[in-house]
Amino acid sequence: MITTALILAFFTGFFTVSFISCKFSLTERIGFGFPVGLALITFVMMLTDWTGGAITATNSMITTCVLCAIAFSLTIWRHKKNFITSLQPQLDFSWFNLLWLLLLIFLIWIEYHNFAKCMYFPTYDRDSMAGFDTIGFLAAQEHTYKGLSIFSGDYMPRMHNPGSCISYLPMLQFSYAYIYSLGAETSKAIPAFFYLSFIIAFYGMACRTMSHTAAMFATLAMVFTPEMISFSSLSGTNVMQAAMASTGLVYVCMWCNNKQKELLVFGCLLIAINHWLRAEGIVFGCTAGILVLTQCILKKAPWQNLIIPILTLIPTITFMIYSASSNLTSESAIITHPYWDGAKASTVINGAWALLSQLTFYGWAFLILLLAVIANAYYTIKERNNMNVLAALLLSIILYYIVLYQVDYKWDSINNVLAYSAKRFMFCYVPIAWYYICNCKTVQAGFNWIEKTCGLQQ
Amino acid sequence: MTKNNPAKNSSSGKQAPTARKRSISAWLLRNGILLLASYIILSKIPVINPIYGWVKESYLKSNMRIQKQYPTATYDQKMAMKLGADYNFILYLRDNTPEDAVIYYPSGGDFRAGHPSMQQNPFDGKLIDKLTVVRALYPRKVVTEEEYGKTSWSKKITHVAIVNGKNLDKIPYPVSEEYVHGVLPIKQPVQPSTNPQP
Repeated sequence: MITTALILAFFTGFFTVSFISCKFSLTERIGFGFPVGLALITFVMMLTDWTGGAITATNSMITTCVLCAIAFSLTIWRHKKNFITSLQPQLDFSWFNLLWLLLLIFLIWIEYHNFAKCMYFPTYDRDSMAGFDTIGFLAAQEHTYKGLSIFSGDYMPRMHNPGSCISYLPMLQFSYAYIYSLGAETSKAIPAFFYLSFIIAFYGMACRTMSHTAAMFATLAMVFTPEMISFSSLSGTNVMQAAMASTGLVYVCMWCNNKQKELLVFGCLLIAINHWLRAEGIVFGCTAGILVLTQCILKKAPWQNLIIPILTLIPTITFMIYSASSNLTSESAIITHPYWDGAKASTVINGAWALLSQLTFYGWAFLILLLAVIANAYYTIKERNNMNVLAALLLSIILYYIVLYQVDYKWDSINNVLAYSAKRFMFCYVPIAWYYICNCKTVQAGFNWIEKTCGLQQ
Repeated sequence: MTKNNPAKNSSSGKQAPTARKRSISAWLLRNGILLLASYIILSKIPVINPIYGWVKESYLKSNMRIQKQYPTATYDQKMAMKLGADYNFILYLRDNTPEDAVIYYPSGGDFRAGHPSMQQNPFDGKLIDKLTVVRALYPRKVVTEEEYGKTSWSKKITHVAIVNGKNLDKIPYPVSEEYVHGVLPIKQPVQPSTNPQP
């Protein structure tokens, strides 16, 4: 039943992406299928729980089947025969070279080891045991989320304190409740398939604007990021959020360049999933909103486009109403008014620099990004090459650290958060950094030369 | 951004007519040189930045070795591999208490305190977060030190978990001071159970 449910979740997402547009490549649709499907299922699970529905195996399967059927019907209704035509793979291998194959073999070797490790070990990381996984497990056992015994103040007196897991956006908790309710011994299939999907999706997305070899290199470099790959086999939200936030922003940047509506809609759907995973994902929603606003002002794009990034807030707002009505709230840990604390600002800036300038957690990602920005400076100024991606990257980093500055550190010290938690927050920028690097005109020229010199056609 | 893509440019029809198939020997020669150069560069990466060597050797390969060494390990064995004696102690509590038990769980200080009769303390006291313990002992209820005497659940305690001889004072009947690790019921003055082997 678990396998069937996961396959149906994948097809729910696959049909949903196809519904948005049949122009998305098969690689993109296969890659984004599982994350999008899971997000939809968990959102409906929350609505069901809100209205008193139980979290059981039967209800989970019914939800999945109904959503899959709706997504399929809407896709067929909207695209008719075009949908069937879009399923035919593009078999153009004129670019094929052995470097691409070598990178692919290395990528498969890495992900095979990573996937196997993820599936082999149960959840043992502290954050998941003291939050996401435990909440999901108990929700499946007690058939409810809002009525969980651990959310009772008498049993867990600290549950309503600032920073408590009771106020975490619940996509991952519902995902774990979903798989536990179907009888799984561990919840690790969720992070394992999510990350595998992300790799495929990132490659598919990168292929839109760069050569196959460049896209494969960007994917491999992103996957081989030390801290990120080691976290990808754990059960936390960080890598999943990084997957959705980074790809979502890149799609919005692509829309800025060519104004194809489906790119904006899909990018914002991914950003909405990022909101559904973590509260501070709002940073990426704001960045997308600013990018769209800029296009409306400078490029005379229709103002109606601004509605789409605003709609990404639906999961957050729905959860806020759900949690308020179910007494799942905790003391706020955010300072909502503007203020100035020089010492705190200095601590945050130093923490940001310490993270982004070292070569351990993220390998060479940010160093090579800096070199790529310098190398591409001429084309950035003259042709605005990759300008939107760079702007999105820098803007979202600045916004992220503003959020960290606005946090009222009641449950932990700011130094602890910057030293241990913030390194995971930066995962979102690693895929964007590698996308930027390989999408630069100067770097592209090199990969294009390889495909021209070593491809099957001359 | 799309203008960077040669494949997409060629599909627009501007350069397509000149494309023709490369001979196998020329393709192999060019790709052989490319492959050799690429392999040399890729193999040097872990040498230049050792963190990439850590990913390859310590993260990917060593975890695979564990999986091959213990292919049939159970859920609890895998958890104990990662979490050590602290998890084994939780398993001991689970196996020696009824499902409706309300268990007093020791604090981090109790775990780290050690005991004069033991040369080395097997616990590191990291597995003390209440939610973690609740998950492992479910459906049993858990009461922690900071809740003791303050919540309604702390008045319903049926068992006390003992580590390093701590919390024996919470048992309302005499218990030997040599009792180091284990779990004792509050109400039934039964023979103390044997010490677990963490």
